[in-house]
Amino acid sequence: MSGGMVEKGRDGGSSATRGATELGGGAKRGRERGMSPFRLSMRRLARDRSAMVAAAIITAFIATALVAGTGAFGIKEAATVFNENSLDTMRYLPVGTEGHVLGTDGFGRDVLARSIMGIRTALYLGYLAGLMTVPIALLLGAVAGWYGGLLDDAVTWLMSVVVAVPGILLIMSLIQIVGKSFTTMAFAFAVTGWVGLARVVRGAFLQARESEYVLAARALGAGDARIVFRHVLPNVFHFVTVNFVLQFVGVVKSEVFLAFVGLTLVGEATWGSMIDAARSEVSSGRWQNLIGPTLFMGIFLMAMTVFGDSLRDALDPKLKNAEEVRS
Amino acid sequence: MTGERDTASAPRGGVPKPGNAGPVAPRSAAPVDAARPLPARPAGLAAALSAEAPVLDVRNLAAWYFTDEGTVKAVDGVGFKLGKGKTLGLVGESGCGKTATGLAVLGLLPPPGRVVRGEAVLGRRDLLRMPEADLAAMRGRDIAMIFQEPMSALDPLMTAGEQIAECLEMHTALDRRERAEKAVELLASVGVPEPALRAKAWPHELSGGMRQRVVIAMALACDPKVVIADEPTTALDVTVQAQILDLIEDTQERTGMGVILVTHDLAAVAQAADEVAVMYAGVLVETGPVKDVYAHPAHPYTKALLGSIPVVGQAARQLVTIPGRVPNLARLPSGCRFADRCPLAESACRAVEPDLVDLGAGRRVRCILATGRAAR
Amino acid sequence: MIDDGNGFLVDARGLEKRFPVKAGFPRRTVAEVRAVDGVSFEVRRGRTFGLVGESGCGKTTLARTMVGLYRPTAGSLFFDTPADKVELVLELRRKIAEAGTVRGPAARAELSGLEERLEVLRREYDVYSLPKRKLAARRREFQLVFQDPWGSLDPRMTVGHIVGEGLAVHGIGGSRAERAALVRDTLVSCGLDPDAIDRYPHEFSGGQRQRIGIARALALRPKLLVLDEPVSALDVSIRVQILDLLKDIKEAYGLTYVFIAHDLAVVERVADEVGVMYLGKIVERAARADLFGRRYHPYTRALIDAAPVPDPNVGRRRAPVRGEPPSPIAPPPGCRFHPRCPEAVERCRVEEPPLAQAAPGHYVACWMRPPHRAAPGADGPSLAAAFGPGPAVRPASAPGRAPRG
Repeated sequence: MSGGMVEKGRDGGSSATRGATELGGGAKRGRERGMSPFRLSMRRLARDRSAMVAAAIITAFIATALVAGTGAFGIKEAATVFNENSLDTMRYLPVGTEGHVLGTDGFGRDVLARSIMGIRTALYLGYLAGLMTVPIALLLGAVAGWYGGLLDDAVTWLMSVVVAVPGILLIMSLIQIVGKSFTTMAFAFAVTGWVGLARVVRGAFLQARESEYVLAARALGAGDARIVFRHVLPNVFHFVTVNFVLQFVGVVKSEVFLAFVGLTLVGEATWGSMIDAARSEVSSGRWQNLIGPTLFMGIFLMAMTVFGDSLRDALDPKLKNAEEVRS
Repeated sequence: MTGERDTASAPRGGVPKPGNAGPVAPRSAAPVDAARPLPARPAGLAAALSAEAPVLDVRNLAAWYFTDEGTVKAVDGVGFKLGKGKTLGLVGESGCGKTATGLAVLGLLPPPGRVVRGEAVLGRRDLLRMPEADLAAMRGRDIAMIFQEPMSALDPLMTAGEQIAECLEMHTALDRRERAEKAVELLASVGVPEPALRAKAWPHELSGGMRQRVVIAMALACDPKVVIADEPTTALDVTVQAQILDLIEDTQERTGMGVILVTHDLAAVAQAADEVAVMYAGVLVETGPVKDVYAHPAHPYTKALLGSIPVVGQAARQLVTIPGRVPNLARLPSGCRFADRCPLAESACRAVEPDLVDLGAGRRVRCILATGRAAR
Repeated sequence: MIDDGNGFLVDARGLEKRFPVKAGFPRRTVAEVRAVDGVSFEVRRGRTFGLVGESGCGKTTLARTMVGLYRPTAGSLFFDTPADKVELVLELRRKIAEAGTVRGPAARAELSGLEERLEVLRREYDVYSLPKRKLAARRREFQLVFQDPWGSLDPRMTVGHIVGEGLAVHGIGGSRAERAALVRDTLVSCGLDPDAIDRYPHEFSGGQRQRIGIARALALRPKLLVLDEPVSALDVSIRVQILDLLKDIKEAYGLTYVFIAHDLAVVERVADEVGVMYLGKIVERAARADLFGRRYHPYTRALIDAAPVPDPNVGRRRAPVRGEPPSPIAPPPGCRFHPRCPEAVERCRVEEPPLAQAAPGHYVACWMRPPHRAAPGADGPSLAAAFGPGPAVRPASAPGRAPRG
C-alpha cells in the first residue's frame, strides 16, 4: 500500500505536535502571545545549526567586504596598486610570502586583497540582479496566477520561450550591445532568470485565489486590490526571499563564465577575471590567481546554498499549517 | 525474532484442512511465498478456531513524538485485546491518540514519533519487535489499515485495479492475469457496480464512496486477520456511510477478521462495535462491551461525550458541554488528565493519575470516583 | 427580534448556479456542473432555515451564491423586502402565472405590463440586480460563516485584523481605536478573550477558530448569517459550545440564520424550517416538526434512517439506499433520485416531479407522495423494512442482497 500511508502518518503526527505548540503555549516557552508565523519560522531557522553557521559566514563576508571598501587595512590599495612595467616579475608563491599570504599577481597586486574585493562585486551583482528580478517575476507570475485564462497562457508561453533560449547567450548579447557595467550585467541576469520565481509566484497566486480565507475576505466585501496586497502577497513573500538568496549562486557562477569570454567588468577585482587570468598562469606553475578566488567563492557559495535551503525549509508553510486531522 | 515460522498458523490464518496443506518450510524474510495461492476461507472459521485467544493483543503501548518543542506523549499506555470476528471501537476526539495507536501497531508512526514501550502481539509475534522486513510482509497480509481520506490513500497514478493487484503481488504468488481477475472479484465483493470497468478507472474519476470501497478492497485483498479502520466513513455521506459499515460487517462475518474501528463517531461505534475503548489525552479512560458502557458509562468523560451527541427525534434534550480544552500532551498535568474539565473532580484526582482498574465483566475504568463507587 | 407577520428577510426564487467545464484548446465549454438547479425558499426574520443534504447537492454553492460570492446564472434573491412589497411581488407573480395561461394579445400586453412592474421591484430589491455600488453597500447585511476553521482564517493576520477586516472595508468606526473597541466587543460576544486581538490563528484550537470566524461575520452586525456547516469540522464535545453560542448571538443581535449541514440531528435542533437538497434541488421543505414527523420524500426518509443512533440497543438498520449521489454534471433524467429510490416507478424515470404542496406549508417533489398520491403512515416503517433493499427500478448491476434479519 502506497504513498498514502506515509502522508496519513505525517498528518497524524503533525496534529499531535500541533497540540504541543498551540494549546496553552509551547513546552519550552511560556507564552506565545503574538507569535506570527514569520516569527515561528525565524525561530525554527535559529535552531538549525548549519544554517546559523552559514549565516555567520555570510555575515563575515559581508562585513569584510564593507570594511575593505573603506580602504581600511590597506586592502583596497593592495588590490589595486600595481607595477606598470612588468607582467611577470613579482610573482610569489602563495605559501606565506611575507606580507602576501596568497601571493601577488603579475601586476604586483595582492591576491588575498583582490579576492576580498571580489566579494564586493559578487554581493553587488547578486543584490542588483535580485532587485531587478523580483518585480519582473512578481508582476508576471501574479498576473498569470490571478487572472488565469488567456493571460496565464500568454505568460506561460513567454516563460517557455525564455527558458528555451540559453541564458548565457542572451546575457552575452545584451552586454555586448549595451556595454559592460554592473547595471547591464544585473539586468541581463534578471531578464534571463526571472522564470523560476515567476512560476512559483504564479502557483502561489493560483492557490491563494482558491483558498477559503480569500473567499472569506471577498464575502466581507474586500476588493481585488485589498485581497492581493493583504492576503496573497504576504504569503508569497517567503518564496521571494528564498529565491533572492539562491539567485546569488547563479549570478556568481555566470560572472565567471562571462569573464572567460571577456565580457566581465574591466578594472574591478572580480573572481571571474582572476580565474580567467589564472588560465594562462597555471601552466607556468603560478596558482595564486586560481586558489584565491576559488577558495573564497567556494566558501561563499556553499554558505549561501546552505542558508537558502534552510531558509526555505523554515519558511515552508506546509510545516506549520498542516491540515488538521483527527487523531 | 529471525523470521521463524509461526507454526500455529499454517496457511495464513487458517486451520490446515485436508487437501489444503501448505508447505511447512520455515518462512524466509522474502515477502512473497512461493507456490501458495490465496486459500479460500473455510466457512465457520470463527467456530473452528479457539474463541479464547485474542487475534491482536496490545499491552501497555506508548508512542511519543520527540519534537523540538518537547516530547508529545501521543499514546501513553494503551492496552486491549481484539477477539476474532469482533469489532473494537476506539473512540476519542482529535488529539486523543487513537490514530497514533493504530499507526504504532502497524509500525507506521512517522518521525519524530517512536514507540517507547509496549507489545502488540498478532498471532504470537510481537509486531513492535519484528524486523522491518518481516513486518512489511505481515502488513497487508495479516494486518491491514483502512485510511480516513480515500483520496490520499490512493496513488493518483495507478488505476483502482492496479492498486489492488499491487497488494496481491506483494503477498501472493498469483500471476498477473490472476491478480487482475482477483482484483475485479474484490471490487465486486465490496459492492462496486461494473467492477471490471471500474478496475480501469483512476482514483480521481471515482466518487468518494467508491474510492473508499477501493481502499477497503485493498485492505481486504489478502484476507487479513486484523483490520484497523481509521475513520473509514468520516469523509463520506451518511447514506454511503451505512453501506460501508454494512460491508465491513459482512466481510467480518465471512472471514472472521477482527476490526478496530478508530473513530470519533460514537453512534457508528454503537452500531458497529462489540466492545468500546474510550481514549483521552493518550490513555484509555474506559473500556467494556458496547451495550454496557453506553447504558452505564462510568467515566465522566464518557458520560459527557455520550451526552453531547444530538440524536434525531430528541431535539428537546439538553446537550452536555465539556468546558475547557484537551491538555497539552507535552506538558501533562499531574493526576488525572481529565481533572481540569471534570465537573466531579476532587483534590485527590489531581494528585495521582488513576490506574485503569478492572471492574470485571470486561469493564475497565480510569477514575477513582467511578472505581470507588464500584467498590462500594 | 420577532418575525413581523409577512416579513421575509430572504426570498430566493429559482436560484441557479452552473459552472462551465472547459477543456481543449482553445478553451471550450464541454459540460456544465449544475450545482444549484432551481432553488426557491423564504426565510422569515428571526428564524432559522435549515438546509440539509449530502455531498454534491449544492448546498455550499448555494451558501456562497446567497452572499454574493457567486453570481447566479439565473434566479433572484429578494433581501429584506418590506412586507408590503413582498405582498406586491407575490400578487404580481400570481397574476403573471394566471395571465400566462390566457391567450390573446390583450393578455400578452397585460403580461408584459406585469412583468415590467415585477422587473422594477426586482431592480430595487433583488440582490443580484443591484448595481455594483449598491451591492457592495448591502454586502454587510448578509455574511457567511465557513466550515473549515483552519483554511478560512489567513494565517498571517492577527485575529484583530481578521475580525476587523470587514469594518475596514466598509469604513465603519471612525478611528482605529473605535474599530479596535468594536472588535474587542465582538470577540467577547463570541466567547473569546479580548486579548486575542493580537494573537494569530494558529495559537487557537479548532473551536476557538470557529468562534473567530463567527466574530468576523458578526462584526459587521449583519441581518442574515449563512452558516455553511459551522460545526462539522469540530470535535463532538465542542459542537455543543458553538451551537449554544450561535443561539445566544442570534437572540442578542436579532439575526436570521440559514443553517446548512449534513447532520440531521443538528439541524433538528437549530432550525425552524427545514429544506432537504438533492443534486441541486430542494426535494422537500417544511416546518421542522412536520418534516421530521412526516418525512414524505424517500430521500428524507433515507437520510433519517441512515444516520446512526448512539444506542447499541437499536439494531442497526441496513443501509436504506444503494449507491451514491451522482455527479451534478449529468443528473439522471426525470426525478433525480430515481436510480436510488426503492419506490421509483416508470413515471419517475421520465418526468421530473415539481415541488408541490403536500400539506399546508409542506412541500414535496415526488410522484409517489401528496399531492399526487396518498402519503404512507406518519412515522411509516423505514424503507428498508417496508420495501426491502434495492430499487424497484434497478439500475445496472447493483448487487442485490438479502435483507438482514
